[in-house]
Amino acid sequence: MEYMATACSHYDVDRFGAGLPRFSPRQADVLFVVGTISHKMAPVLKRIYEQMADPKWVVAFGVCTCTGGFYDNYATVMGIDTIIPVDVYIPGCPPRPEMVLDGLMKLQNKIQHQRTTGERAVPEPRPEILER
Amino acid sequence: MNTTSLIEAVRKHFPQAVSASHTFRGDATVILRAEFLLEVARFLKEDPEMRMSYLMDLTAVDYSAFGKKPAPAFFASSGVAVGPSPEIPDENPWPGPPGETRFAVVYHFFSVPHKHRLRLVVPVDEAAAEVDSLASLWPAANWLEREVWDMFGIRFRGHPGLKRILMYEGFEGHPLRKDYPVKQRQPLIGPVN
Repeated sequence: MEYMATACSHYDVDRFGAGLPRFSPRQADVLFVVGTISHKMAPVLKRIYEQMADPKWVVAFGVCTCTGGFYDNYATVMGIDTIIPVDVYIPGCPPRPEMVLDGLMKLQNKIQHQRTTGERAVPEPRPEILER
Repeated sequence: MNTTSLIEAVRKHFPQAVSASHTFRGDATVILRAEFLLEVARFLKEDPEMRMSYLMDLTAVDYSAFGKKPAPAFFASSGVAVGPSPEIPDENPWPGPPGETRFAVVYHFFSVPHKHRLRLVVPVDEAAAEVDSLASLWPAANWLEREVWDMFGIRFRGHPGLKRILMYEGFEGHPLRKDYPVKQRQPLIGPVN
């Protein structure tokens, strides 16, 4: 739902080149994992990740995929980075569309500065004092 | 039919089946003995006065931790009142758990032509946790009973294929029982975290 808000005209993820969701992992470059992943779903998620062709990136969208969110129970995976490697984490419940676009831009920045050795991009500088 | 006449109709047809009844907050509730469940359910479905064609919900309650450890409300530490003041008398208090048994299976019925509702509560013992299945009368009961089996471990006699529906094969235990620790994960892949 929050992905739909980002993809529609008001926030428009198409202007960042991410406008076409493909429903097959074999044709995709980026895997957006949106929503809570249960332990029942975890082997399926790993299989989908393995079906993607290299180079591939993963975005953990929403706090349930980042850390498990507020579901500390028998059914939820506490963060999908325990199963598959994650490149960008977008927290929030749900994340604002501006946060999603920021995450997408961070991913673009990371890909642009990525070398074949896999070194990480320098994170963008933040102001020392956060103004409220 | 209003709530009292619904309860009276069930009591009139099955006087030995009904162990208690109440209308708390406007809902008619009948507490049944487990062996009469299938007859009463068939009566509710087929009697022209009742015509309860819609099984709205089928669930269970575990009373083993009832009243033992009151969990304070989220804002209790701030001093704001959690419930109504004890000085105000409660004219219609909740009757309490239906029986002395650990579980109770709860059925909610609705009648689409007559638009009245009824709740059936069947106390189930932990040692013989089995009741009759209503899947032959209402097809919706099939998945709802699978969920009760998965979460509580209550078997349903005559169910066509009672297996887990929410949890996965290889999961041990019944998670919504009070003695299953909430955070005990049994992952299929990945660390236990």
